[in-house]
Amino acid sequence: MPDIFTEDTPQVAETETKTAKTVAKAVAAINPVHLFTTFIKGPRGISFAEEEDDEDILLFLRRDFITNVPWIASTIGLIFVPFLIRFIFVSSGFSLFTLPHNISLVLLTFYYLIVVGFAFANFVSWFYNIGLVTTKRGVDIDFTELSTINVGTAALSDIIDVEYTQQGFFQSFFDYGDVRLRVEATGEVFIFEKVPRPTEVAGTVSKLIGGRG
Amino acid sequence: MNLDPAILTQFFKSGTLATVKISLLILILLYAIFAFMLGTKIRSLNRTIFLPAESGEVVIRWFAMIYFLAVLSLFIATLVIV
Repeated sequence: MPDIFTEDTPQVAETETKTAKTVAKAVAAINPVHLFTTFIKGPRGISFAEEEDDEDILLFLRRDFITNVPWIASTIGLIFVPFLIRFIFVSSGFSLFTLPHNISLVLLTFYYLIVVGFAFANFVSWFYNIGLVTTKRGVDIDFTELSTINVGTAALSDIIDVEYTQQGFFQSFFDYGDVRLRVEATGEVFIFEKVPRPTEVAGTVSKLIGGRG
Repeated sequence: MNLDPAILTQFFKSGTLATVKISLLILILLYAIFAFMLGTKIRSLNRTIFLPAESGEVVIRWFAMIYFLAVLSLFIATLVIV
């Protein structure tokens, strides 16, 4: 029976899919994702809302753990603030006011709940700032300021350029940096911020887009 | 008409206490809203990306809930003990 209609698949797209699949096989080591995982190839058990059936996740990325040091240090500092205030007041024999015991208890509990909340919010913000590189696209999930969830995707066929930057001493020392993917259609830049091993990430994306980057 | 100073002192004391209590309750209530919002965002993120149980996603969800309950408990405690 003659074919009335046959879909013409573009040659370039076919080549890209083949390249992507080759890379997928190369990095398809089964790796579990743990609480503090920041970089993993071929992660196991992860999927996202709009993932397609024939789509494999090649890279799982989070900001490097060292980027959490400032808020961890702040939290530790905040834990000791009430003790410090008390110490200063007691040692100088100075008293601003005397609060009833029940009010000071509530205030202190509230203060420590805020400190825990500060640490938790920062941790959650780090935990859910996820970048994924799949065989078909790059996905960037941003959770910032506790009020904004931003999910960006860029199809590999639309990415025209990949570059990475490592600025300053800390980024070079701890080997993390920004990976920028330039999207053809919009000219928009898609950024995986402060991810570990940016060279490897840029290399993987570059291979996936078939050396066009 | 002369007012007894002891009554005035008591009045101001209870007035200050009520102001402190109301201020604390408002602050804790606002904070409870923040804690609830955090939990909602986590739930929403868990619908966007599905992480395996060993990644700690379940722990974070539970912690968010416990945290919200702790803030709510503090609100009730303030209402009762202050």
